[in-house]
Amino acid sequence: MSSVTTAKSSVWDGGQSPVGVRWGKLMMWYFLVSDAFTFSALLIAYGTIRMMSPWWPDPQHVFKSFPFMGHANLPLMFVSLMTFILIMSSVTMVLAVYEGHQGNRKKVIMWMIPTIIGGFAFLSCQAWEWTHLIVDEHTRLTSNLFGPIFNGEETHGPAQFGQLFFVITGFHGFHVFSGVIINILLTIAVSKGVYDRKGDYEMVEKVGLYWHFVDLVWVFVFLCFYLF
Amino acid sequence: MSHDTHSHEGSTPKKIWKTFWILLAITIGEIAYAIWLSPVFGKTASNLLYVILSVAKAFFIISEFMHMKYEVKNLIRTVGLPTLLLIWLITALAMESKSWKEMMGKPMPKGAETEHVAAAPAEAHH
Repeated sequence: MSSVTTAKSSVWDGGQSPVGVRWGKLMMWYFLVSDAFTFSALLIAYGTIRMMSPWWPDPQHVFKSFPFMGHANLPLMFVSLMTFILIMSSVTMVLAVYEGHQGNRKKVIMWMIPTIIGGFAFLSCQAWEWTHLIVDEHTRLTSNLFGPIFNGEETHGPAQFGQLFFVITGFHGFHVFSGVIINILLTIAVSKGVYDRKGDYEMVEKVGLYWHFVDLVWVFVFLCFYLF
Repeated sequence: MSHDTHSHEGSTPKKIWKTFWILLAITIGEIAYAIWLSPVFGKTASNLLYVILSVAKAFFIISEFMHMKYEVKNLIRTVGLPTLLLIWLITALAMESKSWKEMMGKPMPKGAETEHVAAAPAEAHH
């Protein structure tokens, strides 16, 4: 037996992590894989319903409003701002992770604050977008007025349009919200010196993975709802 | 810091900002294309371009922001391989939704809906 193990040792022989990371980070990755499947199921269901529908509202018509701009036709401008906010907040998060590796407590906090502000800014934008769709455009869970124009009058669009939009962007928004809460708790723990005492800032990295995942999902929400 | 258990030396603020500019450029490109160029090239070609660009964005986020390109191959495989199932799901449901759309509005062929059902009870009735 011993001659076999000495002849050829593999990472799978035990005594070390075959995936090169510690338990906590591996479990965060596996959680993200399962969450990715949840989002995929929602987005693929949306895509299937949309592709089998004979008619679907044009995103550039539905998403053309901007706060305080009245009825100005600004297709996709507001959602671009939301995308920019989320990418920006992902960058500040990854810079916080980088400073965590260097063990710079102050700099981690310095980058975590704009990350949290970015999260709140995104949620505020989404709150405005939802309010606009519900109050001004009369989009409901089972009905909407984004139908084809018939004899100069708006008709009802696909019944599931509002439901798919609110459930999927709402599920993503819920992830952003919980991410902001986790980021706040992390920042408090960092400022108390928890990870200095532990001698390791891996928690910043794990929270960072979750926060980047939220940005990653937004890439596909953006693709399916606004670009297609 | 226990640097021996990590392998993140490759990530630097310079690379992080570079990834940010790439992501921003792709996003601005997508929006500009959607507004001005998509009517010229049509829906199918445009959607294909959006998918390619979105997958590219996902690649940059995962590899640089989520440090995946600095991890060992086993971690990349254990996370990446299961998601390949999604390619099948997207393909299967895209085909199904297309055939569903074609089927809608077409009348059923006469007798088609009873053919399978009628054969079974015929033996039971004697």
